[in-house]
This record gives sequence, C-alpha cells and structure tokens, in this order.
Amino acid sequence: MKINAVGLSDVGAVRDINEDNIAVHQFTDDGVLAVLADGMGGYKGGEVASALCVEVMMMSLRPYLENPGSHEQTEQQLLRAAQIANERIYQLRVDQRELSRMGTTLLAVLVNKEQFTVIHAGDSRCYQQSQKQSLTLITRDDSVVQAMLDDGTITLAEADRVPFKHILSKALGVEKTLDFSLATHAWLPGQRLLLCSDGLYNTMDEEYFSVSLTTPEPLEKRANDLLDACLKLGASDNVSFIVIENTA
Amino acid sequence: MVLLRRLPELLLNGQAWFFCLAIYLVWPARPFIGIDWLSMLEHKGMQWSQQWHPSVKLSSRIQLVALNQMEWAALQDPARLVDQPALQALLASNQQRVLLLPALPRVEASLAEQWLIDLHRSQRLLLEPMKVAELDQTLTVSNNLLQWLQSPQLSIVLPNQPVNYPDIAALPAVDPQVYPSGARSWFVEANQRWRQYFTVPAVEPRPNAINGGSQLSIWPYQQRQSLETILRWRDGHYHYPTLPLYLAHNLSPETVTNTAGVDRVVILTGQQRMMVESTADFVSRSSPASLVLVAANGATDAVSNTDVMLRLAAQVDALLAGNYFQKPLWFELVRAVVIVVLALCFSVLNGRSSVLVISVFAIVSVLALVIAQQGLMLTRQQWLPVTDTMLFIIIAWLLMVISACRQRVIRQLQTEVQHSHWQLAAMHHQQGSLNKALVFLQLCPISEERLQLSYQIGIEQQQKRQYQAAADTFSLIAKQCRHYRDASERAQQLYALSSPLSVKASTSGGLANQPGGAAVVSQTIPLGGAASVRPLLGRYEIERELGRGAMGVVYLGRDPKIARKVAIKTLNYHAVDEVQLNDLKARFFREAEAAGRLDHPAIVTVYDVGEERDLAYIAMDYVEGEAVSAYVGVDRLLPVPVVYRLIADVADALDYAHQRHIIHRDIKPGNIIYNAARQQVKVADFGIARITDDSRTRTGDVLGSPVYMSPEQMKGTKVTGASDLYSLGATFYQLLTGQLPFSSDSLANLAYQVVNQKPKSVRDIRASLPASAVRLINKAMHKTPAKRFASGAEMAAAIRKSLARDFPRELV
Repeated sequence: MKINAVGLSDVGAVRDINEDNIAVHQFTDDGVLAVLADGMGGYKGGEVASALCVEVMMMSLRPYLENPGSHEQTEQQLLRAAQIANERIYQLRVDQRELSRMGTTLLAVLVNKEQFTVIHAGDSRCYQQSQKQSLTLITRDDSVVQAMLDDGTITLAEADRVPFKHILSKALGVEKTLDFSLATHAWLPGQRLLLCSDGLYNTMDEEYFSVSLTTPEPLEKRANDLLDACLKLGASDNVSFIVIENTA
Repeated sequence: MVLLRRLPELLLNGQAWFFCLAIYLVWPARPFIGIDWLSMLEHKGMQWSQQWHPSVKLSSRIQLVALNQMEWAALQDPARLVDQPALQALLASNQQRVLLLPALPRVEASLAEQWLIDLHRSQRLLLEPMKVAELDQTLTVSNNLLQWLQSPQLSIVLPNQPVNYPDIAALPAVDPQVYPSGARSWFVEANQRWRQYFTVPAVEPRPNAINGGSQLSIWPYQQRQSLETILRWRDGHYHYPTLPLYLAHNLSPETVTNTAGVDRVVILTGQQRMMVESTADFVSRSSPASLVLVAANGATDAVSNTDVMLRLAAQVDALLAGNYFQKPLWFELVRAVVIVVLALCFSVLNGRSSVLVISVFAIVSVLALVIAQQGLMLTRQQWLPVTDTMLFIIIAWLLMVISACRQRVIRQLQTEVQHSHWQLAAMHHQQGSLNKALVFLQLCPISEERLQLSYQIGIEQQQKRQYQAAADTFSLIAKQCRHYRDASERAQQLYALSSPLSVKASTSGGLANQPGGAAVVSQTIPLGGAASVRPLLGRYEIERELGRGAMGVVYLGRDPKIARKVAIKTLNYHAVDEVQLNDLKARFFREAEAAGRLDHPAIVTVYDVGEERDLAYIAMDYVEGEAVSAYVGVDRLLPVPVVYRLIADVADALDYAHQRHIIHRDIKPGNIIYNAARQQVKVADFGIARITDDSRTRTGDVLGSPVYMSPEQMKGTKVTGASDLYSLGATFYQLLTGQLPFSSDSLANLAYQVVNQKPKSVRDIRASLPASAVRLINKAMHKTPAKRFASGAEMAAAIRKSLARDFPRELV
C-alpha cells in the first residue's frame, strides 16, 4: 500500500492575509496525518487561531503516530488533540483582548493502514473520491445555513441568500468545550481524499475539482493546476486544500 | 567645515571679497601689488590737502650739481684735474657740499709724480724743465685736492656701497705708515667720516621700532616712489639714520633732534622748483645755498637718476625746513584695528540692512577718516595715509550694494513665495485640508501668526480625531516656541491618546451579547481628557457617546451653526472588510439619502450625511426620549393602551415610508424612540440599520440575534414592507408581554422557529390582554407576507379600532 499526499495553501486573489493553516505528515508508508484549519476573527486572530490549532494537533499526535493503534484508539487520540487545541485557543482568546473574536475550523484526517479517521468542526470540508467517480462530501458543515437546510427552514436554492451564511455554529475557541464530529472510514486502493477550506468550494463547483483531480498528471501538478484555476476564478477567500491518494 | 560649506555663498555675496581685501590691507608685510597706484592716490590726496594747509613752507636752500664724465675722471686722476678749473672752484668753495660718488677719489694717483719730483730734486734724475713744471702743477693740484677733500665742509658719500653691519669695522683699513707722504691717511679719515654717517649721536637706540632688516644700504633702498621717507634703519638694538636724515643732521643737528623718535615722516616736496646745474653754471652763479649736493654722473644708477637726486634734495630740504608731516607711530596698529572693525561691521550689515543704511555707514566712516586726517594735519602736523582704508570702505560698500541689490530681489521673491505659502496654507485650512495647510505653513517663517494658525490646525485635527497628527502639530509648535500656550501639554496628552495602547479599538466585547449587533471593532472617539477640545464630525461637535450600533458608535452632536442637537450614527471603516468597504459605503449613502427624503412626525429626520477619513456618518434629529427597548422588562411594561397607540403611530410612519418605497428592515424596540412626556414616538434608522459586513466567516458565538426578523428575511428572499410589519408585530409582542416571540440559544434553531413555528399566544403569557392583541399580532406576524396587513395604514387602523373598542376610557 502506498500513499501520496499534497497540501497547498494560498492567500487567494483578494485578501491580504492567509488565515488558513495546513500540515501534512506522512509517518509511515501507509500512514498520513493531515490537518487543515481556517481561522477567522479580525486583526491577527484568524492567523493565530489556525496556526495554533494545527500546531497543537501535530504536536499532541506525534507520540501516538510512532505506534498507532486501532481505529478506536485513533479516534480517541484525535479527539483528545482537538480538545486540547480548542482549550488552548479558548484560553488565548480570554487572555488577549485583541484576539477576543478569534476562532478556527478544524479538519484533520489520519490515514492508517486500511482505515482513515476524520475529525472536524466548522465549515472546512472533506471529500472522498473512489477511482473516477464523482466526489462525495463526508463531512457536514457546522454552519447556520447548513442547520437551516437540515431542518428544512430553507431549501438548497435559498442557501446562498440567507443573511447568516458566513456564521458558523461550531468553531474552535468559542466555548471551553466543543463537540467534534468524528468518523472512521475504510481506506481502499485508488481512493482519494480532498480536504479543503471554504475558499475552494465557494469559488468553484465540486464537479470541476473532481475532474481536475482525476487527470493522469502527477499529483503535485494536479494540485497546482487546481489552485491556479481557483485563483483565476478570483478566489475571494484564502484557498487551502490537501489531497491524499491511495496509489496501491 | 562650516566655512567650506558656505564658501560658494560667501563668494557670491561679496563678504569674502572685502574680508580678503581687509586681510590684504592689514597684513604687515603686504605684497607690493597695487602699491604704486595706492601711493599715487595717497600723493594726490596729500597734494590736495596741503593746498590750504598753513604750515607748508617752501624753501630751496639746496643746490644740485651734476658732475659730467670728464669731471668724475678728473677726481680719479689729479693730472686731469688741472684742466678742470670749475671743478677746482667747486671743491675749493666754502659752502657745505656733499659729494655723491661711485667711488672715492684716487688721491694716491699723484704719488708717482711726487716720487719723480723727489728724484729730480735730489739730482738723481734729470727732467726737462717743462716736464718738471707739469709735474709740479699736477702735484699742487693733487695736494690741493687732498686739502679740499679734508675740509669739514665737504662730505663724501658712496651711496651705492652696501655695507654688512656689524662687520663695518672689518673693512680693509690701510696702514698709514706704508705711504711716505701720508696721503693715505685721508682714506682713513674718509673711512671715519663715512663711519660717522652711521653714528649720529642724536639718534638714540630704540627698541621695538617699526622697520627692520639686516641688509643695510646707505641709500634708502626704496625703489618705489613713495611719499613716505624712512628716517632710520634699525638693526637689532641699533638705529641708523638714512641718507636724508644724515645729511640734514650734518647741516643742522637740531633738525635731527626734532625728529628723534620718528621713524617715518611724510615729506612735502618742493622739487618742482629745484634744478640740477652743471659745475660751471654753479661756480659762475655762486649762489648762497646752504647745501650743495654734488653727484657724479653715473655714481650709481640711483644717483645718476636726476629724479632720485631731486628727491633726496627735497627730502633733506624738507627736513631742514621742518616742512613735513609725521606719520604717528600708532598709525599702523590703529589702521589695522580700524580695518578689522570696519570689515566686521560690514559683514554684520551685509545681507541684513538696506542699501541706505549701508551707504550711510560707508559715508560716515569715510567722513570720520577725512576729519581725523585733516584734523591731525592741521593741529598736530601729522599725516594719516588713509587712502587705502577709504578705498577699502568704498569697495566694500560697492560689493555690498551689489549684494544687497541681489538680496533685495531674492528677498522680494522670498517674501512673495512666503506670502503665497501663507495664502495657500490659509486656503487649505479653510477648505479643511489641514495636512496640506500644515505643509505650506512649514514653509512660512516662524511668526506669531504662523504659530497661531498651526495651533488652530492642531485643535481642528484634534477635533477631527487625528490625534497622532494633532500631537505632531502641537509638538512642532512647542519646538518652535517653547512656551506657546499649552502646545507642549497638548502634544503630550495627545501622544498618550494616540499610542497603540489606548487606541486599541474598543472591541465591542459587551456588544457581542447585545441582541441585533454583530460584534465589530468600533473605534471610539475619546471624549474628555485631552479633548478639552470638542471633536468634530463634519461640522458637528461631538458631545458624548449615546450608544453603539452594529457598525459604529452613535454620538450626541451639536450643530454649532444653528445650535441644534443631532444624533450622529457612524459607520466605522475599520470594522469593515476592505473588500466590502466600497459596496457598503455606497449602500450606506444610498440608504441615508433615501431616508433623508422622509418627512414624517413619527420618523426621525435625517439632516446630513458625510464622510470623514475613517468613517461615514449620518446626522439626524436628536429625539428626547428613550428607545422602547427600555420598556421590555416584565416589570417595566408600558400600559397596554399606550403600547397600542405607539405601535399604531409606528405603523403609520412605516406606511408613509413604504409608500415611498423605503423599507426600514430593522424594526425593533431599539429603533423606536418614545417620549413619555409628550406621548410622542419616532422611528429611527431607516434603511441603514442593517448595513453590516456579513462577508466574512464568523464564529457563531457573536451572532446578532435576529429575533425580530421576518421569515422571508431569515431565508434571504425579497424583503418588502410586509417584513417591517412582521418586525413591528414582534415588537408589539414583546412590548405587551415582556418576552420575545421566539427564543433560542442558537441562530440555526432560532431561524427554524421563525420560519416554521408559531409563537406562543400573548394571552398565554399575560392573560389580562384583550383578545385583539392576539389577533393583531397573529396577523402582523403571519409567516406568509401576503397574509399580513396589506399596509402600515391598515395595521394602524386595525390597532386603533381595537384600542377604541377595548379601552374606550383611555381614548379621551
């Protein structure tokens, strides 16, 4: 079994600051830890929160990655790390006045052998793609719009016009404790995962990036092409994504 | 370094030039450049002055006789003297004579004749009688010559003989014993006489006299024509008379005594009446001159020059007649001081004073010199050669006038430029571009007006909340004028105010919990403290903060022109994403302008919209009273009929606005102001209330709770007048019950309720309410806009109808 992973993060076509942070760590031939955080909250806050989040995730999971266990253990470890990250950001937010509105999303995937575990909070998304089939979203945004869609208050067509479409219902740093969404899936040969911030999926259609990821080019080239395309479309937000492929 | 840097300027303004001139004039050993024409000028000045000077005596007691070549040769060879009777007569005369000769007469040349005659007389040699007579004659003349030369009335001067003093004693002295006739003794005597010339007893050795030099010349070694005559040479501690003084002393020792202590005199010459005669003319005339100067033609280059001889004669004559002026000993020193002082004065005046002042100064100084010169001439018989000093003044004056003319043009231009800078500054100040005004003000010279205007600008900057700029302005004022009013204190206060710590945008931590307000950074306007100056927004003076809205602070302001109180709502640009800013601004102004067209007793009037550096603002009527959000507590509810009436009035106002296609979008208790005393209600913030930056992702904790939002607003579909009526219904609900129609801890849940659920009946909460309340609220808050009241007017009418029915007594 072999794994290919590439992550890219760009400030986008409009913003001055990149508030996204990503990290990819391939710890064995068949094991990868990928973390993506999309910060928010005005002056410096976004950068700080997302950087802190990624840092804490990577640092707290490092010992575990030396000898990863079963998927239950993995879930437990991911959850613990995410909770630490949340507490750290929350504490900093309380301590520092100018960071008092900061927060971040978290999307982390840990691929180990034949399974992968996804933990997430906020509106960063993880897509899954098998062979040349289209993408399927395997996370559910923690946003007001998503909630309104879910409870049928609005239809998908109305979603774009809703006044609160940028408001998250969950984010790291807001409350002292946070419920994360956690799921473990099978990791099959030829499978591909796409972790991305809202900068990517708000700029281009899902069909487009599913197509561009399945060209025969090397993975890095495909990822760069995808980023270029996104920037050409005038990405108004920071664009970050990580692609993980099972090449076996 | 400073001098080097200023050099080009100095060269241009002429100051350096007259300093150079001054240095040249003061220099003791100044080079001889230009001395000739200076002396000429001095001479002219002197001639001009002495015209009316009473002490000028003209005399001619000296006669000049020039020997021709034959006569000089006769002095070298006594055999030839026999043929020169005129010369013999001259030599034999009793008059005082001075022979200026290139060499001593060769008296010993007759020794051969003497020897031959001696041999003849002793019979050892037989000579022809003719020859003997010739020898005799020669010998007689030769002996006579010896006698004449030894006469005390006759002096021999070898003017071209340089002598190295003090080795004068080492001159070859001849032993008289060598020569049997003793004729050589003359030589010794001549030598003594000659030496005597150096040792005039009346001239005392004087230390620290002015002139000096070890190379001594008998003749005053003055190649250049000058009126000044040096009287004494100095060597070490010894002083020696120059030839004129020596000659004068020989003739009249008391003359020399009169000039003792004088090194230089200025001689008045009467040379135009002197003439040089030939020996024959002199002998035939036999005039009673007191001195006869006899010069051999070609004795020296100098003596052969008739002019020089005439001058020597004139100098001796003048000394004898007392016909001269002394140059005071102190003159050179005083002259140097005067020139230095003048140079300093000029350099002080230069560039500062007008041509008139400079000219007056120059004229006064020249006059002072002339008066001093003429005064001393008349009273002390002293002459001050001040021509060069006067010339210096005139040249300096010319240079300065030229420089002053240039300066005047420059100053005129400067003044004009400064004036235009001042005008530009004033203009920019009037137009409100304070920074530009300051830039131009910096170019103006520091003056009371400038400081005053700077101060004014500082105040205005402060009013406009440009604290950093104001602090800079005040500190600049303080730098220019240390104690200008309270500039430095103000600068300090303002620096403190504008430092990052205190500017820290007051994040609306508290606001996060307020319903309806998204948390935004809203930079506050500091009041009090340094703001002993009231800040300004546009033309409005800010008095205090009234509250905080979604996008900025609301202030109580005052229009100073008509003394009207206004509420000023601001849109803080810092709180807005730059990408969104232009859009948002455009919306803000559009909505504000629309609201400005509304004129209704129950709508807060909008007076003015404006923009500042970092915010946009809208000035509206300041309504006395309280927002009805103050009456939503269960224990503070207004009486039901009052609420009815109030809501009806608002409905009327909404109807008026809706007819003009203006939708409020944010009807809520906070936007309805009620004056209990006057029973008056006003709706505020038409259109602008919901202008917020919603482009950025935000964490869900600070969401503005949209409890009064209609379902269609919640879903983002078209907002119409009916939406306002829904929100008014929700407000009605809250004012009657003290509770919100929907409540939830999450926005998503709230949205769900608003769209899908029916609120609890008001009568379930407050049983005492009339049934009409339930009906009115249900209709106003219907999920489907079409099923609500068709218009504000209809709603108002329905409410009033119910009011009349349910509370008839209150209607009175």
